[in-house]
Amino acid sequence: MKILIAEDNATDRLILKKLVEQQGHEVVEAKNGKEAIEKYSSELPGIVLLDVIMPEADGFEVAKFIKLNYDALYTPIIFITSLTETEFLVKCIESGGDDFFTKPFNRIVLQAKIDAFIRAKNLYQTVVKQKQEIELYSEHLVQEQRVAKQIFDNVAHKGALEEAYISYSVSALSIFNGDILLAAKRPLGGVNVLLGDFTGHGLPASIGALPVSDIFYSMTTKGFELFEIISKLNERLHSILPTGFFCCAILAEIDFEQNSLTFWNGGLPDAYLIKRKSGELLELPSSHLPLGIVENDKYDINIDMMAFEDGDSIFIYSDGVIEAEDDRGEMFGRDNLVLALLNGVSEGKSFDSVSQAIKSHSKGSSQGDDITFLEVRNHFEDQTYSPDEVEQVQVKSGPSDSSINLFLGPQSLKSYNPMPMLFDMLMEIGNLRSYRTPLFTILTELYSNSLEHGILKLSSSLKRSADGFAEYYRLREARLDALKDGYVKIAISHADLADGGMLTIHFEDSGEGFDYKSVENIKDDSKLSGRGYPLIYKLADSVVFDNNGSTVTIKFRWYSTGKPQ
Amino acid sequence: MAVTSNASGNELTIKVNGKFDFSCHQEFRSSYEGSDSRPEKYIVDLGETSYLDSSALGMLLLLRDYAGGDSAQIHIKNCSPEIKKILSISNFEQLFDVS
Amino acid sequence: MKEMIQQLKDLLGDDFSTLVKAYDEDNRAILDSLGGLIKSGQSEEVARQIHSLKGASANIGAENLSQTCQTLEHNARAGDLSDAPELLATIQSQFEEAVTLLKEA
Repeated sequence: MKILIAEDNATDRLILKKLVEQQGHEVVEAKNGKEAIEKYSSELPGIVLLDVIMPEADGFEVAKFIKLNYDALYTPIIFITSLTETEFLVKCIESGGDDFFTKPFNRIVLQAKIDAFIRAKNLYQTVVKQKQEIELYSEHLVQEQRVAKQIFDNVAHKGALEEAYISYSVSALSIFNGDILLAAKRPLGGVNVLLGDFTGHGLPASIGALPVSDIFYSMTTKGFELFEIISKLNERLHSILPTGFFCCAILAEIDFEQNSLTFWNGGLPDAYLIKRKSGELLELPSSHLPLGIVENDKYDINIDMMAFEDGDSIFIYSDGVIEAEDDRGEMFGRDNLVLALLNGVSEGKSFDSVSQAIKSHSKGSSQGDDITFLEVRNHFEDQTYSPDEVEQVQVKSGPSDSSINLFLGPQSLKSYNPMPMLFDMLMEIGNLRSYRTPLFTILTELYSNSLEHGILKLSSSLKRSADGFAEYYRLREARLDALKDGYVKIAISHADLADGGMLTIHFEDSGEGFDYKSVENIKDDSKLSGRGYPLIYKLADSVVFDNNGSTVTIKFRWYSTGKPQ
Repeated sequence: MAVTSNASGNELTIKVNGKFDFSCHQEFRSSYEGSDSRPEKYIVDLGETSYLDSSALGMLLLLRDYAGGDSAQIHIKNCSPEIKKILSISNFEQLFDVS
Repeated sequence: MKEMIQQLKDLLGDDFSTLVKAYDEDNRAILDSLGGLIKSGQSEEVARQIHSLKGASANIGAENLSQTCQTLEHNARAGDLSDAPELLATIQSQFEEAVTLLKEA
């Protein structure tokens, strides 16, 4: 270590120099205070041995200079003194001295002091270095999180969360708390929402959120049913999450036209169906294992269907809401939540009421980062099917001169949904992507007509009341379960035309048919929901029934310009 | 010691005192991994457990895996109503014998 | 004092003669100036100069000299120079003894 000796008396300086050198250190000498300041600044010694009384700036001035200008170097200053008066010692300490060394010089004492300061200095430097490393690491981490958040936001984008009928609250860094909130419009109208809460925090949780988001958005867009999405999510999470990690989740599908809510809760706290008309809150408890714990064949994906009437809304939240603490550590709690929801019911402002209540509860508390909640309200959805913005597409592109024939037997009808596959293929043809909503409606309506009315013989009139609605879906499940024979045949072909194309869709089922003439007569009355045909009449160019109504052929004309006919 | 274990015959009883959260992760794990012979049955006694969070649920799943997954015999007993509620929200009754 | 001188010889080796020369010359200069300072009553400067001599003398093991210096320094610091001429005389003779011992070594 380099040690500065500042001492005006040549005898003392020489002896001290020899003592220090004997201990293996390098010595820098100064004969007075001014020289001490100069030598310190140019040599930056590790320790300073400083005489108090010197000409040209005394020891106090030198010490003050060093502490003022080079504090970060943590240079121990040892005052050399034979002064023993308390006021001098106090002045030494006040000017920045760390220790004293008295004349006559004692070799052992000097060695002990120097060694102790070297140890302290090394420790200090290690701490400083570690502090810098930690700061750097923390800076990196924040930067990485920022980037990760951007990537995450691109994958788990807001989707339909900004729609007017949805209110939501998520914290800025919620992904690192393991919460995920997604909403996507269904191709047939309506919306799917997902609220997930991963066990644990930080990176593992946010990594798990990526496939969840990906699967949720892509399967919703392709028209998969809720149970199919849940099944896929469980399968994927089970394969990627280590044992002990899982995702509590709620998935809900809301159909604004049918006024129905399809709901599944695996491990999250009770959601609430808010009935504005009656002022009631219906609890929607968890009745399933969270996602990612067991394999699909042991996983129960029973979804509940219920009426979702005008004025109804659904409120979904994660643990953070009821666990939000106030400044005394008191949790917000379920009772307060229910109270806040009820307070807002009559005005249809349950969400605002809850937001307000949580805000005033956690005021003054730093906590509140992992609070996620959402409300989806029923609303009237305008089904005018204006085509999306048109991209300039070649007329003859994709499988434009193709046809497909599909036969579905009882086993397939029970467990397979052909819609995503058919839809995927159609979306490849020419400009049909611009017609996705009407096409999806036509396909889905035709398929559910064949299956539910033709084969399962369910009456659509059931769906007109709230109770009947649940009954309809109960019967649908029971009859589908018991199905032994029956089939649906689907044939789709496409022909190129100069300015677009013509799609022919043919459905045939093994049912007994129905009084299609009555449907033809009411085709202009869009208010009646008789088997969804008014909608199909509106969207298709022609609808032709045969075999007593058990076969139907529709034609759908499209244009490369994307303009509706 | 927050987690204590006691083997008797073919049974291993694991008792969690106080908070059952991530802080007892290591202790909980070594309570069953430490024993030389594999017990047939595991009993998790939560009678003295004041609190249970989602990482505790994860630890129970790890135990279940260790004890043979679907064939594991694990009895979670002496649950307070609050703890029972947490277990039932996650539907852990499907995976464990809870009382 | 002899013991201390031996230790210093061991420590300094060839530089011991430098030490002797420095001690002799520097402090003789101090002593030469002290007479005048005492006469003109500059007690603070007296204390300052004698402080330096006191430290160096302690370091070469001249304990009696260092003690006398201490007394003078203490008095001078308190503004009392009444005994200073006598103390200076003692210091001068003790200094000569110390230098002689150093040179003989």
